[in-house]
Amino acid sequence: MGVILKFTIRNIKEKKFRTFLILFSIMMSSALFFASGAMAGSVGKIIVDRIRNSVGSSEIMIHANEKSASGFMTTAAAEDFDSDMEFIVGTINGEGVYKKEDKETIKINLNGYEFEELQQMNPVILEEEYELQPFQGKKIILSSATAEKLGLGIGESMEMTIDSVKHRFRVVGIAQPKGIFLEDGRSNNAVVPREMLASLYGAKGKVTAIHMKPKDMGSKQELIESLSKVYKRYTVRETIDEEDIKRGASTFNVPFMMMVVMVLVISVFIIYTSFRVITTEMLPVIGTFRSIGATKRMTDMVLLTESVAYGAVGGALGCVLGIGILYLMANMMLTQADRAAGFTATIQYDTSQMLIAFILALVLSVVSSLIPIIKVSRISVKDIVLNNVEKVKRKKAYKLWLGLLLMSVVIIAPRMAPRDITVAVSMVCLILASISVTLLIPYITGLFVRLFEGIYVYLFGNEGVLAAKNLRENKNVLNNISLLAMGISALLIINTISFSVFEEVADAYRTLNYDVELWIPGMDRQKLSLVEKIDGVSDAYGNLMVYDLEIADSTDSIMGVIGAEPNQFADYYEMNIMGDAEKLIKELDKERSIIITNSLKYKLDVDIGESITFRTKAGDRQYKVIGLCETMMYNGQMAIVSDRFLKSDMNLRYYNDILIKTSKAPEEVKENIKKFFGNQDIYITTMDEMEKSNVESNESLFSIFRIFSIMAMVIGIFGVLNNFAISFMERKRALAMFRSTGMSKVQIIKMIFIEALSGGLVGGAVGIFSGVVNISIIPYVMRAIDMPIPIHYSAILLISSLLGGAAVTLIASVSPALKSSRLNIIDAIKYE
Amino acid sequence: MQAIIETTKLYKTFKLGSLDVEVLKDINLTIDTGEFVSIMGPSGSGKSTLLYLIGGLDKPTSGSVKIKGSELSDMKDKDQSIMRRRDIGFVFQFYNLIPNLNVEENVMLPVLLDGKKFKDYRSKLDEILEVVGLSDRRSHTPRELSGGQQQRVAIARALINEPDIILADEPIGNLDTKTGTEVMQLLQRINKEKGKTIVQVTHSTEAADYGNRIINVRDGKVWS
Repeated sequence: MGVILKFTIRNIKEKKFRTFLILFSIMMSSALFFASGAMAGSVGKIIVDRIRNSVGSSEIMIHANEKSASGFMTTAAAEDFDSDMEFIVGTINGEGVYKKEDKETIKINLNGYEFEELQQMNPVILEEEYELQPFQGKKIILSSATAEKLGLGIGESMEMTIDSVKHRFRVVGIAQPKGIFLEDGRSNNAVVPREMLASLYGAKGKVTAIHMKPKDMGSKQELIESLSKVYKRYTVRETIDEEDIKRGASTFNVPFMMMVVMVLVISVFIIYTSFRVITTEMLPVIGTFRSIGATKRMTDMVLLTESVAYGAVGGALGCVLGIGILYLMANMMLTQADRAAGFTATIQYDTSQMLIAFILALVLSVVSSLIPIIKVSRISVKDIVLNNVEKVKRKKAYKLWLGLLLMSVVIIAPRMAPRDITVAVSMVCLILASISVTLLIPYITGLFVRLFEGIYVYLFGNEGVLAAKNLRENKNVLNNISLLAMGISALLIINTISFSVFEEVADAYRTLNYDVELWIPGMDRQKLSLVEKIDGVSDAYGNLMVYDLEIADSTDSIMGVIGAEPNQFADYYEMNIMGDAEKLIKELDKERSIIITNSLKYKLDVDIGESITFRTKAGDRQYKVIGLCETMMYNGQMAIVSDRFLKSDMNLRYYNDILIKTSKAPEEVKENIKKFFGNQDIYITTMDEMEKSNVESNESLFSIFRIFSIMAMVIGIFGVLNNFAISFMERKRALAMFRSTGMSKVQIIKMIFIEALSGGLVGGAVGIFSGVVNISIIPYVMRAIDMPIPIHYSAILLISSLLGGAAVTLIASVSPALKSSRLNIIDAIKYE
Repeated sequence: MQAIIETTKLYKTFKLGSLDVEVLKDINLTIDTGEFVSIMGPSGSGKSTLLYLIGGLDKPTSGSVKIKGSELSDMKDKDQSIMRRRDIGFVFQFYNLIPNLNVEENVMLPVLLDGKKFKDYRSKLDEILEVVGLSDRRSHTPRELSGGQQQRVAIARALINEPDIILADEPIGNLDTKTGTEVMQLLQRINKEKGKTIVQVTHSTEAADYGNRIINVRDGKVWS
């Protein structure tokens, strides 16, 4: 056995590229599996870290909600729990406007704290301080960045407008950009004495939020329940709802896992085909050893050891690489604001995730190599020694039928699957689609060969016809087509989804029929008419909106509910309302009725004529569904009701924003509006800016997805290169034979290139077919994770896939073509 | 008779590690049109190397090979290839058929490589398949044929372009006696009826007897 093992090790060393390919595919599979598995945790960690910056070590939080009589509360009732808590910190938030010497106005977020309490919950590190204690009266702590921006130094005074009243503060501290002072370059945070801020808002002794940390973390839920009883009309919750964050983060996980499935399928294929070659090469040696007394078990164990070794080395490397990929992915998840704030990506994973990735590598390697090993094991010693092993397999008809059956399952199952298992079913279908395509490839290639034979005689002459014929039943060509198809399919899926999302974003903005969006405090009819008079504003619309409107007796909510003003709404929104849109919008105003998106119809299982009951400030309110629309706004989780009912039910006093149509360039109008409102706190953006920022935020996410799909393609390309190398070795004799019957070097090169081109084109075409089948599953997956997107196919993408396939094989065939032309005919022909 | 194959001062040396092994030494040979020559000799004597040098599949270390008066070493790869497909037909011990092409396609290979149309050679193909007795196997692939049938396909392929020379390397070395006899009778018939010059390399004296001249090669030299 030691001798066979020695032979195996020598074989591994000799076949460097094959060894690299197997290790690379195992390593990438386990790395991507590990990274995507740990991604949810790391995304969660990023979100938690973001929140922790502002709330420090707070574990329980109390704040007002729509049922609360006021936004303020006292900490008195919470103080009763003092003995159970490490700290109880009351805070009050407000806003001030600072006017610089050049008249530029800067909004300051004011955080009212007792300094000692803040130090306990979320420590501030001061770079400089001046008469900080006692932290009372009009004192302010700024971050070093804000102080620099405002041109203020320690001990200087600053004038700020709070609630339209000017106040003079003294800068008593300049803090390092950490914790509450970690700013994104746009927002400016300041800490002021709590009592002073409360008195400015006429809420002496009161706070807007209470933060607590239990001494015993195990009693957290119990304390939340007890506090809820005391603060009945307020929200008492975990400061950081990890479950909610996990749920949010797991949305990222699904597309990653789909890509991992594709990479795994490609790896299985590569390992399986490589082991077929390994076992074929080992056959004479196995025969020799078996003939002199080695048992089947011994020879099987040698092959299995080789497989386990690949799995172990690939798995270990994969875990290391996985950490790198995870870090890269986490870094890409950071927003520009995060980066501006100096926020760095931290990754989160545990050893169990690493262990699972390692085990996956082992299982992947062993399972993929098992069939070739078992097949070799079944061959009798006599057949091996006498070389009676069937070298060319006949096409088995069952493969065609099995391929077609699996394809039918792939097409039907995701459409029929219940919503809660759609994702799992779709994952299985991705695997089945690849198996099905692999089974069908010999038949599909056969059809293409017939087509090529007809065309190539005119395009490339007889060498073209011979090249086409060579594709038939050529194992390596078929393997190349399979690998290309899987790689192209993976690339196509991600690029089509990303293309669709960008198209949808563009579409979503096309549904918004206005040029500028404005937010100013207290947007009422009076402010609206002021806006209408500004130079360049041709029309303005007060937009009413409620976010995350809860549905009674359910855990569901609707992400965005728009209140439509019957006469103007259609001028500002083009919502793809099915039927007579104008009539339906007018009908909304007659009684409590609602138009929902098709996604919501599917998600909430309601149809036209049925009702949805909302939990509103005025109590439960029933809205009758009177129409359906199709939009990607709020991921399709939105609805339209009349502004009249939304205003009264939700007790809305102000518009959410003012939508503006312009008669001049939106940029110019934006500047006019900014000038008009002078030093008031104002948020204004043009549609172009909004679209750009949305595209940017999608871009970083899709860049990560693209890395996965490109990895799948890279593994596929390496596989293709390997197959070309194997193919050259196996075809040496046939190529020499062509030469002996009069084929010139030029003709050989021409034939090999045409073969490669044809294989690439078939691979590209099958890849497109398989990609389209897989993509057809995606809408069901996306709908199941509440991110429904209609699929848009890009003709350029499809054509480039086809040409890309041909380019890959053409490039991969350069070396074999040159080697073939330099082939020693005698050596190749003479020996069997 | 006119000389169709001529070798003059032909040498061939192989490198075996750091050692130079002289396989052929000073071979001077003339084969006339219509001859059926059998080259015999023990293993490693250099007889197959001689055949490959004559066929242009290998290059001599020195010396000259002339086919129909043309010096092989003066020819470019393209011209040598054209010569192999038009003037020479090869038959090998292990048949050397293309596994994924059927009988018809294998036979037509030299024609296709010559850029000629398949349909123009249809009747010629029928005639040759009739001669080699494979008319009923034309759409079979090599793996569906016996060794003897495969060798007959190889002979048909060697004949399709009507070359003047057929070079055969151990044509019956891989066949049983009965099939071997059939193949040798076929080659003899082709030599006699079609006037083709045949040069075969063989171990077998029975096979050699089908020819009309025997050349013995031993230790890289011709012994008449």
